Amino acid sequence: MDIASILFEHYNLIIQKESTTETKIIDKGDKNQGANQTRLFPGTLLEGRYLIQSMVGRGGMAGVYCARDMHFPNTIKLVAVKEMLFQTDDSFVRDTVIQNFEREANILGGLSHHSIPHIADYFTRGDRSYLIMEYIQGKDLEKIIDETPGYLPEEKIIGWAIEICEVLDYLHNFKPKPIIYRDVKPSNIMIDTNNHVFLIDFGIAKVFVLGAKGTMIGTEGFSPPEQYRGEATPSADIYSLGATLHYLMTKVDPREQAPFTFHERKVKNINPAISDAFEQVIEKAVKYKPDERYHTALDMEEDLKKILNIKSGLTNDSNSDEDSKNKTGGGIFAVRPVWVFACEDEIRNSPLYHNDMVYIGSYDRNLYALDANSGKMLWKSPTEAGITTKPAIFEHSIYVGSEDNNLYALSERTGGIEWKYATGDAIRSSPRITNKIIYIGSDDGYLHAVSSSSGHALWKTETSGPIRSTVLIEDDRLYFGGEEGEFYCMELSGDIKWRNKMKRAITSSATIYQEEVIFSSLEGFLYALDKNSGWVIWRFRMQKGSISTPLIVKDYVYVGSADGNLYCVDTYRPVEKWKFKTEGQIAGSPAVYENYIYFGATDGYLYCLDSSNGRLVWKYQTNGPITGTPTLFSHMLYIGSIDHKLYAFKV
Amino acid sequence: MNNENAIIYYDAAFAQSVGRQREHNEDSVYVSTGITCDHNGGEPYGLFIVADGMGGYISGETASSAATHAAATSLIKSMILPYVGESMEENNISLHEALDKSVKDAQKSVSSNAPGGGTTIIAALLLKNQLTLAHIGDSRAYFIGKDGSIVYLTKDHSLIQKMIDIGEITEDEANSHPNRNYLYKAIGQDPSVSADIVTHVFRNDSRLLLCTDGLWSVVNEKKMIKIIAKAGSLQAACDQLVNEANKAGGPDNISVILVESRENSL
Repeated sequence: MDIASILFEHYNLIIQKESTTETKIIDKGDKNQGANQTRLFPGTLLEGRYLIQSMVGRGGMAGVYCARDMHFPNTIKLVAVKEMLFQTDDSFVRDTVIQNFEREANILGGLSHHSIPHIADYFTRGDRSYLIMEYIQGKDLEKIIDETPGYLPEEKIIGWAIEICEVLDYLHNFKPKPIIYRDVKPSNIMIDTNNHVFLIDFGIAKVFVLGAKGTMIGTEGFSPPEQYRGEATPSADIYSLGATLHYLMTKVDPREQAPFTFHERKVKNINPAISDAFEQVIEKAVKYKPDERYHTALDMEEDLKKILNIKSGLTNDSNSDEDSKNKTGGGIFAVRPVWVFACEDEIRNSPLYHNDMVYIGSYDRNLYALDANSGKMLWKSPTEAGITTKPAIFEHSIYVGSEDNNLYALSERTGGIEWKYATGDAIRSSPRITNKIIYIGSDDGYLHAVSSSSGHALWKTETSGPIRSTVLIEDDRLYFGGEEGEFYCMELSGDIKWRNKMKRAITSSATIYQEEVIFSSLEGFLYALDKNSGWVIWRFRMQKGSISTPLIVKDYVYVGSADGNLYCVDTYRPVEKWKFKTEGQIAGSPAVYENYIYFGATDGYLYCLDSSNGRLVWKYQTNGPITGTPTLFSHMLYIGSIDHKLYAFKV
Repeated sequence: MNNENAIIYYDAAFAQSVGRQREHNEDSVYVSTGITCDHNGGEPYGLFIVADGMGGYISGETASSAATHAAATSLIKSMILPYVGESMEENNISLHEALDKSVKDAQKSVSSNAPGGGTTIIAALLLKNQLTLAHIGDSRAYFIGKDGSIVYLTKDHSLIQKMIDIGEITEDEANSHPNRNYLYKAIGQDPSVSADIVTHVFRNDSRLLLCTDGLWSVVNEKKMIKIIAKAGSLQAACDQLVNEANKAGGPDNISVILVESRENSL
């Protein structure tokens, strides 16, 4: 019999597979039967003294009850009764259980600390042993996490953490030998009605002998790597405390994650409200290598106290000063545009950069050509309605669609109209060009293929509704979505190869990743379809719909949503790596330059994030919502805003 | 070999052995392939599952069997029947969600049919040339290229793999590590368990190998490639892989599935 197998049964530890025929995991049926027999019913008088009131906890072979101590007849003195049943045929199991129980009694009997329950009695009757302890009225942290809507306040958690450090410091410096608790986790930490911490359940605590190898014990997710090797040192408790604090701040249960992966789940990416200082404390506590963690609980306690002391002095970055609005979360530097160009109406779309020129359409009906370095206007070309799409360029001609129903070909040099092609309704889709053919959707429900040289239609294929997404051209196929919720794959001839119907409009354009075509929809999903068959391979749910075109960089897809978040999703499996919350909606797409992600939101801000972790690097506020996508070229970023302005930044 | 009129279909074989040190077989496998062939061409599919039970022999064999049956039933309903019935476009569930649901169904079945038991699982669904895998535990999937290459498609949910990943120990040290049998994820232990799910293109120059640790823990990759390359058929390759594991001591149950795509000219 392997001790680990037994411990798994008792303490929900890691699973061990049988390695030989001799090793048998103990039969669970027998134990369950035993566990059922541990129950003491309310009204039972134990030892003629402890009147059982209710069961407050149960696990494995143990039960914990709230009882009244009848030696105090004139007052209600409550005690906790922990009962352990060791009815088993297996003498090894029985001995192990008894040893653990006696160890807990002996350890508790020698301790005196305000965060450790006092032990009143310990006795064995028949096949059961009992510990009588101080009854703590309150809740354990696991329950507090479950019952708290949203996140717990950082100050509250730090307050508890300081008290836990105090009690760990007491245990780790206990004489004659230090005691390692070995099972710090939310369900073992009680918060009483006065908001004070109690460490409960010393069942696996261990008197520490330097260099000794013990048994693998603890709780998966909260136990440090060395504990799996049987080592128990004070830094193991510090790791478990760090893991507990990570769980408290993020509500991401480490038992459901791969072990030792806290560094992959930065607290700030899950709960942006955490202070940098507290995040650093948690990160240090959960370091993989014990010597990189806090050396003592006292060291950790001191850092936690420093945070509480300085927290009241922290400033809020939401004041009205312009520089402080346009800065990082930590306030490192201010960002200002290199130039700003004002149109006469809203800019809802994205600029095109080509040969030191920037081309941008406006709702004032004009397409503007600006010097990319200075913002000086070189020409503007009027259409008969607003322009809400991004222009395209091919062989010295600029192509842009207008809400006046027409696709225009303009001279790159002068802006003069070379030809215009009429569709049956407003154009809100941007043109795409390959092999001298322009592909563009229209609100008339057709995808149009137009000769770039003559402006004549080559073909048009009817779909089920308006097309506002921009066509993706890949391997001689056209991919696009429609406002009726259908996603299409067409041959270059206009024949539909496949289509797949989603529930809501697909305004987002698609992106290709390996064999998958990825787009978002107003249904609130980011979809990945097989590019050959159209089958849905995976979908990732956002909190609200999206018209943002996904951006793929190094196996991650970045996409905005009406829920205000910019999501970073793993393309390998659709799980969120991080998300960044804005105060508005994100309609445009993100753009990447070097290691940074840039995007605008309807809260008026242009954001710059670190692409690896979603941390804010800087933000700049324009005077209106941003619905377009930034264009980046040669250390310059161009973005338009509903405030009528096109901004240029050096990045 | 590719020609316009060729119909692709999947051929599969499997082999199992209790091994030389166990008295009971706690592994389970499921193998099915099919094709619908009409004027539009061929639409091949396949569903392959291996599961390695644990928790004592009664719980272990029940767990792997329950998981395999539940996952297969789930995927046949959610994907194979719509695929055969040409209603994939109306099928409002993604491949990943279907695989995820099959694992959850397996989890439920193990909880009720084999309480206390646990099992690994790999479910591999092939639709056309698209392979979607769901995986929990330390059973493995590989692409074995006909050019002698090998691509490891799954990552063990074992403590030892985690320690290798973070540089704590080397692959060689892992082979003799005392904790090499610890899994941190298995079906039957945690109701909220989630599988790793990935989609790959299954190319016709590759074979898909699914196996339990009874094979990979004692037969190294080089040897697997060599055996598969030299065998006269898929079945012979499976049999020889199992024999090789038994020759190496057969410390555990062994299960192997091999799949390859074939062409039938019209």
